[in-house]
Amino acid sequence: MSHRERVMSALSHRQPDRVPLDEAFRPEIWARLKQRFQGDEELVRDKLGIDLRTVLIHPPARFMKKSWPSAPFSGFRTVRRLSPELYEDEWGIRYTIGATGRYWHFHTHPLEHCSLDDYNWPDVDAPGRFDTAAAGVDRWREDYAVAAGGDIEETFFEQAWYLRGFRALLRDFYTNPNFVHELLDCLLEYRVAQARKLLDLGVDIIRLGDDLGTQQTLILPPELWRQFIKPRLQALIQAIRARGRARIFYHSDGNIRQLIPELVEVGVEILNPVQPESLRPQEVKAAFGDRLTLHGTISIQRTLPFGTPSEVRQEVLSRISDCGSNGGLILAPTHAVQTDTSLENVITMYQAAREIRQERQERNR
Amino acid sequence: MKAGASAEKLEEELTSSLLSMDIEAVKRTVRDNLERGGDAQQLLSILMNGMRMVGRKFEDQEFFLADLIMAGEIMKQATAIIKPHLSASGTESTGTVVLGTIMGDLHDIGKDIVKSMLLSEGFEVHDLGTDVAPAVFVQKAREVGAEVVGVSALLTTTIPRVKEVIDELETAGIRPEVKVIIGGAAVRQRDVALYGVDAAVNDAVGGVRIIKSWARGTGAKQ
Repeated sequence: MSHRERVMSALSHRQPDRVPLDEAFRPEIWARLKQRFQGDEELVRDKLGIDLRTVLIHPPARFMKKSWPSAPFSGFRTVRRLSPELYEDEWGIRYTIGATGRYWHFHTHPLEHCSLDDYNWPDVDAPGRFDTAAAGVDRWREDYAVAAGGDIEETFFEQAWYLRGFRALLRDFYTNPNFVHELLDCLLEYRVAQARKLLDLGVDIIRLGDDLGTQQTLILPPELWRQFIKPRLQALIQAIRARGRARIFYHSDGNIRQLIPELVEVGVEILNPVQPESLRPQEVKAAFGDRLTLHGTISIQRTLPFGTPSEVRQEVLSRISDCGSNGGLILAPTHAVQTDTSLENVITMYQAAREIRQERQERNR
Repeated sequence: MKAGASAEKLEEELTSSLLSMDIEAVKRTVRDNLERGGDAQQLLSILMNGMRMVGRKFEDQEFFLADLIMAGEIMKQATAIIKPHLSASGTESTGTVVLGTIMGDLHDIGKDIVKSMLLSEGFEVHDLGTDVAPAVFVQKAREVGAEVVGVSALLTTTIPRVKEVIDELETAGIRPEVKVIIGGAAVRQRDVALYGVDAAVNDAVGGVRIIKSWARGTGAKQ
């Protein structure tokens, strides 16, 4: 099976030759992997057996020209440097860099002081926004399943609080619901436009999401999610379905068990990261495995940083045995692997997953 | 009898408005009552009881983070109205806690849950925010005479930095007076011995329980 066939087979709930694999690493881990394998990111993906490629929506060319490329900004966060301490993204959200240089802080949110009427939304049609995504699709689509992400993965709730501020938005749900509805409608319009562009490029998977869970429970009361977020998620997925066929990936950290039936109901097909500290992957598989593909499931809070290689191997094997029947499983770390994780554990995770196929083939001989 | 009935009605009205997150109703009731010569201490007690109910509902997963934050906001605004009417002796706190997310880490949901729940239990809480240097925890603890320092760390890479807080407390000579708790999803029990903290917890509710037990004098360090 090619990488692409393997992923498509798993997504169609048919048994692939081995479990498909995806990645998520901090830049420091990428650097160590490139050093270890003596090559670029593509070579590392090849050595680890990564079956998907992810393309990102970027800000337009005129913003990219002036962008600040250094750590900790990468991936979803493309910023301009306003001063040595202050950075701003295309949405007007401002950041400072944390004490260790590895993470950024939110500094100001544009809708803290500006009304929605006066806010300038980014232009989805601005030249260059989808150029790198298009190039990625051209480069990879024949051999790999191509997923598309970027800020669209912070679909509604997250982008809304980035724009408004976390506490302010939570208060707005109770004290200013009309504002929240209006803000989310603007976001829906923007997300639909982004998704249509991605469909036209021919991506296989569109990565949506919102961090809705804490480690133990939900951030929003479920009734608020149902009232504000769910109808827009449903409308977005319907708009995607009306335009083309891409699988719907949905990311939320934490324990979102209560919402999974409704996520499936509105059309989510791939759930990420299914954090084993918050959800039981085998229970999710048992309840929704005929409709949902689990993506992630290998713990970056326990096993990868603190486990021995043999414990990592064991987690991989048990996950495949508990959740891998009839496809429906793509193994990946549950978030970006952090700098305290040994390369040995990272490599063991991917090696163990690939060995399952060899063992299966040997048994079949 | 009449006064008792009206006190009961006030409690019922305020608590119900708080639990349904109706900030305007809470503020209106508080203002009306104070204008009619009501007892500021009584209003505060009713709201504190209400906040404890909010905390319990959060523990039981009947309420969620958004409820906790909104209830905290209601409490803050209502207290601002009540405070000028309080006598100085009426505001004794359960204990003083310094909280913050350790340097290198920007996650604050867990810390904010702990803060809201401690406030609802009558603690004085000094929140240092996120990405806080170890020395800053100690400076603040000394400045406010804190009995507890709560260090939050979600990232596995930042948990070990709690040892620097312990070292700084020792250098400052106040380690015996201050209990230190570390909280975060990836925190393990072995971190107690590893870093010399007094408690290590995975969840905010468990952390609050431990801090409350210390305040009641039933903690491990007694």
